[in-house]
Amino acid sequence: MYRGGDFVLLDEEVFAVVLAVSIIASALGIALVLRPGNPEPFTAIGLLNEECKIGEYPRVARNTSSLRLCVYVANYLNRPGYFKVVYKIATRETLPTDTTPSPESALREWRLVLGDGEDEAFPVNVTVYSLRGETRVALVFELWLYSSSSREWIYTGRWVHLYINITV
Amino acid sequence: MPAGIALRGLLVECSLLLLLFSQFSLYFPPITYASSELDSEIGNLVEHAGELHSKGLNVSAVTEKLNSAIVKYEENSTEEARRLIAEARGLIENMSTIADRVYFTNMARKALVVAALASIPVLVYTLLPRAYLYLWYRSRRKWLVSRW
Repeated sequence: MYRGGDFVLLDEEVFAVVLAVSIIASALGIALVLRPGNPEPFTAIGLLNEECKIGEYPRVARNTSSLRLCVYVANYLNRPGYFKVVYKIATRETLPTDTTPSPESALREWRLVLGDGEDEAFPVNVTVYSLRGETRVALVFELWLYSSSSREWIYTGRWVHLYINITV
Repeated sequence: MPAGIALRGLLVECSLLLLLFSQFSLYFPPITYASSELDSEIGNLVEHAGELHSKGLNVSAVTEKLNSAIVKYEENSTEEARRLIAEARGLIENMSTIADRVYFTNMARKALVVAALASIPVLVYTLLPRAYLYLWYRSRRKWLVSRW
């Protein structure tokens, strides 16, 4: 290519574009290598039906009968965690919040250890009964995390619930 | 007389119940105490596993052992649970001996990758024109130059 009296083989503009692309690719690659594992660590809990699938949850149950469900727990804390799922029966007034667990007493607990990025769904059999004469109760599953520094279970603020109509 | 026999029978029944209860309480310690002890042990091991994980070691074998220990504990096989916890502790101790070496190896590998990626623009700037020139001449090496 002849330009302005100089014979230039590689066009300067093309060369600048190739150089810019290589700089962007390099910066992107370095950012990917040096990025932290998970900038926003979190935990998750989910409720599945007896086949460990979403949907087709039971709506009605006999008083003091047993229900089969599936609980899903996931750990994305960037470290392994020791978890427990606490089962409670609550009413609309005693549901947990994102900061406080339900004041109702724990009926069952399941403990498990999950590595970073691991999740697990496990079947559970829970007893269902009318609470203080209420015919509509909430089956509550709270997720707790063990703190080895304070040697106690800490409520993660994650919970799921399923409303059930109780029949005699 | 029948009242005395009845009282004696009642005393015997009470003592038998007391004996039974004392045996039961000896073999089955309070669940809350045992559970908190288990939580404390597993919690400590999980914390150590977290330290190893942050250094780049795969701790899935440890979490599997601890989950098996929890299952055995819930099945009231406390001895088996303790054996599995001891195995998990042994795994962590073994991993701790190589943790620093793995960490520095991983850091060195990461530094090498970053250096290689950072050198790409420099290499493009210095080598691309030369490479292009070389290929340009090479592709035309059989050309004949003649004056018009």
